[in-house]
Amino acid sequence: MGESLRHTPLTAWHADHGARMVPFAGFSMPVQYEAGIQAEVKIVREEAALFDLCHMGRLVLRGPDRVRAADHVLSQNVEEKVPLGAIRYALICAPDGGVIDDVLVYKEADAIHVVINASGRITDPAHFREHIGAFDVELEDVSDEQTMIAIQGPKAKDVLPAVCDVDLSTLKYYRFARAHLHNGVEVMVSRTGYTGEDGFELFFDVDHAVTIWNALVEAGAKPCGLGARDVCRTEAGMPLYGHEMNREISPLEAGLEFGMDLKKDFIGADALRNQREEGVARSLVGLSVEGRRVPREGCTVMNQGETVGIVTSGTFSPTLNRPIAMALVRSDLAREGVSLDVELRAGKTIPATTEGMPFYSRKRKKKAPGA
Amino acid sequence: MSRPDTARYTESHEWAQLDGDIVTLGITDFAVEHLGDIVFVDLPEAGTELDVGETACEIESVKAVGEVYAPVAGTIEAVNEGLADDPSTLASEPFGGGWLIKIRVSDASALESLMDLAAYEKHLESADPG
Repeated sequence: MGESLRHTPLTAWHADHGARMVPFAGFSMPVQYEAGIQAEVKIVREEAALFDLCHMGRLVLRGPDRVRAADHVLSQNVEEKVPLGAIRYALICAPDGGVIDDVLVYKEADAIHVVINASGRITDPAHFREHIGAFDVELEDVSDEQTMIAIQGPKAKDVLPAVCDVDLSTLKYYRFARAHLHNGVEVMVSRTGYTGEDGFELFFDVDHAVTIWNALVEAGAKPCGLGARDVCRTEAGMPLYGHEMNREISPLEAGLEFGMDLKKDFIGADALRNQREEGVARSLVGLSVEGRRVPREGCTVMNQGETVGIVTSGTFSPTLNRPIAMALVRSDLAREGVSLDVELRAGKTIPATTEGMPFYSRKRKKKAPGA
Repeated sequence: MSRPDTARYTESHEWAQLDGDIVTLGITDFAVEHLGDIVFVDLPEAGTELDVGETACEIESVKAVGEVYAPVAGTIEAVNEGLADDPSTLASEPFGGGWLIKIRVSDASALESLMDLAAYEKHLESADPG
């Protein structure tokens, strides 16, 4: 207590509606509402959940060199691999290949939008500015001017038309479009999310945050907190910055090749090409355990008495009704079905088995670890 | 939720009720609320010796694990087996059916250093509700 936490335009709404507020990346955010995390995860999986994501950052690149500037800083090939109106996962890497942040990049006719983590709101724009000086481009940080909210779940598509005129028949997964809110305000809508369900993220003027949030609640969307969002992303096998990757954990270790084009040049590409050539010492795997004890972040992973890794995220999965965890382990053990041990605390160890991810998918098949 | 005024309380939100030379140990409604959705109670085995401050059992919620510390030394006389299959009683009746373990103590005087109900409720006022 005592530190000054930033508020989103919806912080007061959350507190007034029974949310348990916690500090998160310098913001006061709802970790859960009265129903609790299990009930909120069920809302995501079966209904339409509403998340306040105003704490996340939004950067916009404009100008003739916007694509070249994005391609210099981001791991994804924005020029060649991202069609107009499409969104791709990308990384911002340091020259040594360590991850500064993971982002979504949106390619529009006259702008490149980059959605960044709350933890990157200071570091990411500074990193861009440091490295795009040679380009004819302008970087604008619109984080404080925009509302960002997500509607996630199988019923998200039924709720969205209540507030927004976007044409859902043409808005495919990882695409975005401009539309209008029911009060005439312009909105950017993307078919994205961080839960493993169908859903949307909305970006619009900050002054309309509470009005639109209330309209979505009226239409049947149910507010959920960051606790449920974190459980859902873990179930879906999605990495979280600061956990599965960071300055010390490379994207190759975290299995994020899909977010990189190592054939092009970007900051960190040389180091990452070398790493790929030499092979990485650690790789991310899923873990399953017998029983209901949960491997938590930071727990040591052992193999025949030897330390071979560390748990990066762990939770009880309400959807699967069992514990799930992700761990960085010695690469030779990153295969499916390897028997390991997790040290819950000094003197208390439980057996675990490597498992492919995602743990939960609404449609996709699992990928084996290391594949 | 009425907190028994015959029990003693710890700063880490355990309650301990002395009856003869048996101490019944549980966690308070505040601890239950703080943990959130409880999904598993990992109970020790009867017969286990406990020192003061030792982890007596662990409670898993969706997002966290809570350790329950023994406020007194002794031997575990009984554990609430029902919680292993259905932890919901812990949330609904933390001071009753949700008790965790019973400890046979040789010296119950350690309980006297714990808080009484009035002191515990004062402690709660200063506790972080997050």
